[in-house]
Amino acid sequence: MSTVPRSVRSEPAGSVVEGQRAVPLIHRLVPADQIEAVTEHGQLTIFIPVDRLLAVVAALRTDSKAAYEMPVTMTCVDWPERDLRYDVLYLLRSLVYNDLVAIGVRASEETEIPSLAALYPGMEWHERECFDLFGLRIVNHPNLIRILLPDDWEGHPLRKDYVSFGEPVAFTHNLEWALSPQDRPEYLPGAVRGSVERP
Amino acid sequence: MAILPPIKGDGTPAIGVPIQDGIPRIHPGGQGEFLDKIEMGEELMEINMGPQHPSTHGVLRLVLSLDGERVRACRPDIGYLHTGFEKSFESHTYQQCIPLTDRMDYLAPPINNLGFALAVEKLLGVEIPPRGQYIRVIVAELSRIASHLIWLGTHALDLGATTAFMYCWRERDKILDIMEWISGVRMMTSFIRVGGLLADVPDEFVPMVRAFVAEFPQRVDEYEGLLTANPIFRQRTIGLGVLDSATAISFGCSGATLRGSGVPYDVRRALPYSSYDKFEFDVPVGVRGDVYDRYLVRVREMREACRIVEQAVEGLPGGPVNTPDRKVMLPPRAEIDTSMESLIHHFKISTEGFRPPAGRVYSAVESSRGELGFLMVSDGGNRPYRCKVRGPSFSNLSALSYMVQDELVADVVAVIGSIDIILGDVDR
Repeated sequence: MSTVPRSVRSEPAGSVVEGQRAVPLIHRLVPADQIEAVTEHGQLTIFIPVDRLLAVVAALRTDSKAAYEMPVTMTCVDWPERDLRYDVLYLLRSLVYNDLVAIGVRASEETEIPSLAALYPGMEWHERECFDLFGLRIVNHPNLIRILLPDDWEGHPLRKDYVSFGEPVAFTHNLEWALSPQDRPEYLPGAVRGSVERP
Repeated sequence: MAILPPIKGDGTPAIGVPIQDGIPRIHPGGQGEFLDKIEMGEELMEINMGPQHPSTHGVLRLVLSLDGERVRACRPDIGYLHTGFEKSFESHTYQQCIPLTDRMDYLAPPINNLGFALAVEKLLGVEIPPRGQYIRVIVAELSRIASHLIWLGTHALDLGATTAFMYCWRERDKILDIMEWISGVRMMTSFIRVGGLLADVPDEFVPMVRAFVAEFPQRVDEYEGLLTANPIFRQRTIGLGVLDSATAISFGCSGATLRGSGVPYDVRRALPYSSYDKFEFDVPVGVRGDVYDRYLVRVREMREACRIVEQAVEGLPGGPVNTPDRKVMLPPRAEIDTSMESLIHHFKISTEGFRPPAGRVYSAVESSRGELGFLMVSDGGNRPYRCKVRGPSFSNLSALSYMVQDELVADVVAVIGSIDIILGDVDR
């Protein structure tokens, strides 16, 4: 199954899409109706269920026809209006075949994401970074502590609902800024989702 | 000054030659064996190195567990220079992000500009004219040389060789002069913009680069004369901090840290961008993956970068440097006087920037430290919805604990120097 967002320009005929080597392997391990493949700008991103992540990545790493041995990066994109708000992306590179694939997992704040640190030692820091900046729940990680921010930092700054420009200051004309995040109207920065609607 | 002969007869450094006979080694055995005998019993001693240690090249803190003089465990503590660039990107228009990228890898800012610009250009579906691409290559390779010169000087300084530091600064200053001439700024140039360049280069640019290219190979000979065959330098570095190729790959290392371990992966060669496929250059690799191999690879890379600059400046095509797409780049000043449409474009770009179509792209360039990747997500707005920076130093540094395992504490600085980290790139 392949879904291409409407906004993305279609690829010119005959161009090579990066990441095709991963497709047959993933189809062997994950039922076809649970795979969502997105091709954007000649790069393939394959979204799989989170419970198949370890098996798929282990296969991608060890299979000689794929050999995605190099962990390029792991990252996360926050879409707060969705139920599963995080697109967790793992970028893996095959040096043998000069290919890059992005494996994606959709997660919520509660989803337990298995750690890939045992497969790729280099993923350990990237997972700590995602925990630090997004608050992802990563399980079976050898040392899940904040990496970039101080240990006593509150919140996860790269979440879209994290206020990035200082403390809101309340004056007489905007007293609602002094309300706690739960009571703050949704249109104000730092408000919790589902709080008071704009009148 | 007498220049020591290079190892091989043809003037090129011997990349990864087997250890020559007659060179005494400290690792393993030698002095280290003696130090092992005075270890402090069973108990490990924890010491802090950094974040203000001069040899950690910035604000890196290491927590070392020592058994006598041996490092049994090393825990890097990073984040002292975390600036939140990725969050800042989300509140700036694409063109406003360019000066922010300068501050990440602050020793080679144009390469950061280039990586960011290429990612956005992919989203926009814009390609810039050949002259712009060639000038980008020249500027990027010059800044790679400048960055490697700082690495070489400070790496040698860490190991007690003061002279190389001064020599390297001399050549770097010439590169900064060129940068100042083309952009008005010596370091944070912001010269490479989305859709092209700040401006076409002035007439003096080509003669300046030619003069630099003509002189530079002899200068590299000088540095090599100071270090490559220097017995003290070789004793300190050969066999130290060994990283085998499989481990280097599994840590996601890239750049000279990976190539020193014998893996010929270079983004410029594997996924050519900005007409790198039109230039002839070699990708040097090491054999042992130790500090000395990484040194040889980087020094050779300076020569290769110089070759690329030479080819690019000789074959520099004419024509415009910026994309003709008026929705992305500002129209020329003269056009605004005569065309209403240009005036509108000028106003729109200056006030709200451009809006790439929604989508996600990962684009990588070879920075002076390795694979610098930008994962750019657009939601159709005029600011990046999300921009993840894959800093090469971040992954390279994560392999440090492996490399310094069971080495002497005094050699940790040599290993850190050989990875060539920039904390602005690690912490972002």
